[in-house]
Amino acid sequence: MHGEPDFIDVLSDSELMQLMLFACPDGVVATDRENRVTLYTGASEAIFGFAPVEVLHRDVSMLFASAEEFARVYSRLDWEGKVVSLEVFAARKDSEPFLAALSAATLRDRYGSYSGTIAYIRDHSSLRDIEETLRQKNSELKTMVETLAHLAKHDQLTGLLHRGSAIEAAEDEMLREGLSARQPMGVVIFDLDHFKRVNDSYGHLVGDKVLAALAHVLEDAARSGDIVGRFGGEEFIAFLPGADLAAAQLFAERVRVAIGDSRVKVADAEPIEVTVSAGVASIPSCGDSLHDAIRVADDRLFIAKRGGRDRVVGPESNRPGRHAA
Amino acid sequence: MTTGLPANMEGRNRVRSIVNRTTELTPLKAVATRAIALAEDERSAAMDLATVISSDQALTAKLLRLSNSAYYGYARRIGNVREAVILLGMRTVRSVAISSGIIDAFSVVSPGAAFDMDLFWAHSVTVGLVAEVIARDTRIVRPEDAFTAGVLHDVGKLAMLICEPDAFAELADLVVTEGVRYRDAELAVFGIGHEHVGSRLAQRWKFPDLLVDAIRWHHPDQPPSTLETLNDVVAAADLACNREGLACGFDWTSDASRRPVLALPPAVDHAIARVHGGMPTIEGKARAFLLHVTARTPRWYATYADLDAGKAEAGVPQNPPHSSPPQTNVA
Repeated sequence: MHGEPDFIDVLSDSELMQLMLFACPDGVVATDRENRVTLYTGASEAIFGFAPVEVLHRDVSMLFASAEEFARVYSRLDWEGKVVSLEVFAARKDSEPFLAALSAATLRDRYGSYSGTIAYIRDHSSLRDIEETLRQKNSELKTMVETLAHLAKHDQLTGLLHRGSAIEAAEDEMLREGLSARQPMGVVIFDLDHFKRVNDSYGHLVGDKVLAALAHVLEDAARSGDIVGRFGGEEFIAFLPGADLAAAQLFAERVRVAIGDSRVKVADAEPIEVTVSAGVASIPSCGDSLHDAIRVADDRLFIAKRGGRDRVVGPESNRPGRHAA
Repeated sequence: MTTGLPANMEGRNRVRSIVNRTTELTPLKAVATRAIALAEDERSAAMDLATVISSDQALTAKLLRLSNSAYYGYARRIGNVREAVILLGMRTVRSVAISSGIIDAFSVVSPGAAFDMDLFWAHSVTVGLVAEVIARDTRIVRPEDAFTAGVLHDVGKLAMLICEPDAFAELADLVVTEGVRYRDAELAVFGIGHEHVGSRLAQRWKFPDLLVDAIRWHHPDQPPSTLETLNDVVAAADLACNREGLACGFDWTSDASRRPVLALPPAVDHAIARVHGGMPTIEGKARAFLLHVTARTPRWYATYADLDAGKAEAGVPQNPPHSSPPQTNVA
């Protein structure tokens, strides 16, 4: 006789077996060969809500949400034999069916004929709820991140890209183009003339309207692929992939004329006339990098401003080699 | 204009022998030679350059370190040579490759006590950056060419140092203890000026004439009164740095009272003033350039002494005790 009870001892000790079944936190249900319930533990009662007297010796299909669910489980058991694990819709007393994780095995006698099933059931409805909540929160978060990213990249007033994101977009364009067949890239910086005067005499709301109007004209003038951004204050920038100096200058001139023609309407006042100045540069003719071209465009914008505004300044109005005093 | 030789036969021979020795002692790496030889106007040049640089892992690492540092101020991460060539521009990348190749080549020689290699390059790179700033503002020449020419303008001094260390020690002694101007000292000891050696060396390295000329003529008799050529730009940048005390170390420009007071063309100060933060920003950039290109903290001028506190001798040029005030050094 050994001192410690071994595994076989445990199995042969029916009281211990019972204890194990009833202590199991999952519901344990066993049936006989006619699929009538023969074992229904306390945990099962907590899960299904039926009292043992309502279940014992009844057909086990009553614990499933529908006859189809029952059939599905039993055909899986038939097909796969030993143990199957799956999610099923189970019935709950006086309540909606719920999602349960089921692990079941068929019992066979020593001649191999079917003698019943034993199943472990765990309530998965809360898990499903958590999953559902997570999915929902995730999609909310995604939308929020997209909104924030858009806000971070775009100027709220004009809807155009901010300075940094416009430059980044232009760099992306250059990187995409690659090294072998480098196209020119036009760079134009616009600045509304006498914007401070507009703000001072009509107020900032009108000033905002004027800015939005210029943004609108710029977007209209841009082809697809052109990158338009608010450069800061009343300055705007356009990156024109594929445009050389001449093409960029044409674009700038088109915008200047369109702005001159447009009138910004203000309640109970005459529409305001605004004009715009622009400096034009391009890669590679004004430098190798975006920074160089932006700098040249900015210098030329300055010359346009000093030259009397409402004009576009490109290379011929700013001969190289002459220092702007 | 590339007759970079002194008038007398003796001087010519000395220049030739120094240049020959230098190319033996400090061979340029293949990648620098190829970067110099690159025909920059061909369509394929950008791709060739990217390929050439990518073949050199050390240079690639330096270039990417520099590209991703505050030196260029790019927000995005530049991940490879190709991106650097596209975003920084081919000429910029090329000038970095050439400059760092030459700094590398000379790093194998140890200069001895009289000469501070770190301050030599500190001066050279600062001159390069000031020249670049002037070129960018005036658009007289390409900023990248101005940078390269500025970095290399004094390279003849290094060649003289490594080929004839004894003569150079004599030169240094004249400058440090006698207070002789660097230029007078080198003429007295070597009989030739470093611009002759430098320009011949640049020719040997197959630099374009524009750069050879700039090195040859960076010591005009008079400070340039207008800026018209690369030569003027480099000469003016050199003087602008010496004026600030950002010179080669063992001369006397670290002492503010002995710095040259010069009238430089107004365009020089205009260009420097357009840099946000002015000269200190340029100095900081020069320091960053050397830091990333040599992968170590260079000794520096007193400006950064407090920054480097804790590291012994923070790079203040050591003025030896001296009785007779030396003349101002404009070399």
